[in-house]
Amino acid sequence: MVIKMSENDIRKIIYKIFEQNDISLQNINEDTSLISNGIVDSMTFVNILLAIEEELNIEIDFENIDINSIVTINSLCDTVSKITN
Amino acid sequence: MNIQQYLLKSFKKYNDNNALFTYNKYYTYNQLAELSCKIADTILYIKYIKQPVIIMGSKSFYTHAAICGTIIAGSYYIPLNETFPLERNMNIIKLSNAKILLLDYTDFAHYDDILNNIHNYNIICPEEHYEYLSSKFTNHNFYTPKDYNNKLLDAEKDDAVYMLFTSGSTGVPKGIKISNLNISSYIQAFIKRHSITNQDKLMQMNDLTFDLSIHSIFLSFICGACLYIPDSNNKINPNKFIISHEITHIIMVPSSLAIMKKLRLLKSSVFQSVKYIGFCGETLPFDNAILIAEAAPNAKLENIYGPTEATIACTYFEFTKNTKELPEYAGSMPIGKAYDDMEVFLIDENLNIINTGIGQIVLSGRQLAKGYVNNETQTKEKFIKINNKDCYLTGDLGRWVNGELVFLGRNDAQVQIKGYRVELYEIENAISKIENIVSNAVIPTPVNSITYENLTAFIIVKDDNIDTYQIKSILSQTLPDYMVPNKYIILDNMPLNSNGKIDRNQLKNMIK
Repeated sequence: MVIKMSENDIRKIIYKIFEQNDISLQNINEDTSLISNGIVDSMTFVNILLAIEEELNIEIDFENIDINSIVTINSLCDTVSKITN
Repeated sequence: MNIQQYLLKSFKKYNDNNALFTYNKYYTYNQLAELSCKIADTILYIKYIKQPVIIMGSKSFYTHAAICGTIIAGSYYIPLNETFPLERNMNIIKLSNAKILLLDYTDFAHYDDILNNIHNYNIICPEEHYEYLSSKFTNHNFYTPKDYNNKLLDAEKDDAVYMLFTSGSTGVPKGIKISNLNISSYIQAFIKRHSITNQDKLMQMNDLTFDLSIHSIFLSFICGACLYIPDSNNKINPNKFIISHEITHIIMVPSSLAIMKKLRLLKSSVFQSVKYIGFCGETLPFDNAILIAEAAPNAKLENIYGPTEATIACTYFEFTKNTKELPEYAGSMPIGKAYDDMEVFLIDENLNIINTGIGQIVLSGRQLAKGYVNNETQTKEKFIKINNKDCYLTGDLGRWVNGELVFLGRNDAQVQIKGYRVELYEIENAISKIENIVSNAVIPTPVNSITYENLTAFIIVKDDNIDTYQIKSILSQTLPDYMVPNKYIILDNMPLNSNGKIDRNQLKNMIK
């Protein structure tokens, strides 16, 4: 059975994973790069990306993906939603 | 030759060749030369002496011209870091004694906090920033780069080229001046092993406060190559940048390699253009090293080692995908043998040189700094004479295996995180200053790993109403990002060993 997840569900899951990694997304501009602005260090961010893959049972094509489409909260949610559905 | 002469020679020789690619734009040697020489002239116009100059920038053309201009003026540069907390940048400014500051405000976040906290500095900024800055910050004197026809001050071999700061256990960073002799010696030893031509493309992915940046910047400009600066988002995936720009030389910290491995980017033969990759700053896990050897089939690969005190790196070990792993390597790639003009040896606790067993790594030779600036206690402790030779005690442990040195971690509470040397005491000291925290201990993670990714803080609090986000944000005000623990575990009691000291092994077991 395939359950289609809404974008909102996916966003919630992504927020939860950031929280589990002790990254607070409160008061953060959802269109700003989490990396360039030092909100998440690159190693933690990678661990978060892998946790998202595992939680949602998806695979992100890191080799070909445009970096800008995963480094902000909004773009990450968008990209993950597209892959999931 | 010293660095000032090397740069002037390159500026004359390479003219229209590309010198720099940054923020998606190319700049030629002529452009770099013109701006650098104007900056040098302006520095000497403000004060006609050899002096420390602060650099506030990170990746821009102006920032690179500022570095070159400072050296051409016969002076030395001290970079700040936009990701450091204000207090740390302020400490660096204070300890540097600099009165001149080179600023590209578009290239340094929160520059205004710094300018508001210091007064009467002479600030050289790009022409197009002058009006805005001079009307906004009336507490400083602003200049723009111009020709004043000053005669350059010739740099001597013992004059400093740059000054960097390392973590100090008391919380005050320790300043290290690296001289023309030190850095020229490094460059000559490197060029002898690996040629770099004016057709090559060097990637520079490190902060200016980290001396791996110096390796790429100076080797590139001295050899007439083009220096490529990737956007910080590329830290997650440098593949596209390397492949599309046909990068030939890379120097990176092993944690960047670990990231590439985690994201499944280290596929066989993906990096065809790469001729050299050097790893430095942390232990290089053997299995990751073999993966990159397969991913970059045409590259010479080296694991290099050295503290800031001995100029970037001073030992090297060349490996290929066929390098055999020995059990004595303890899972890591050896750090090998000393650079030309450097000596490396191991000593026991009584400062006797040993050839078997585990000992402290000691360095000697032309790349050694003279000591810590204005810190006699630390200098006397670490810079000593052994057999009448000036030596530096690294605090790192090693062992000789078939004539190659193997790095075995630290002999004190210093660890390496993302290539930075971090004193755990400094972090614990900062945590202990937070109200409501009674006791704490910081453990690098993953535990029992050969490279650390992060830090976990164990804390005992007075009342339960403490928020880990709050602790994190308080620490971020005084510590750089890589020193702020990412995990916090609140305990009722701190486990103690028989000596009454915090039992770090028990804490490690709690993380597993």
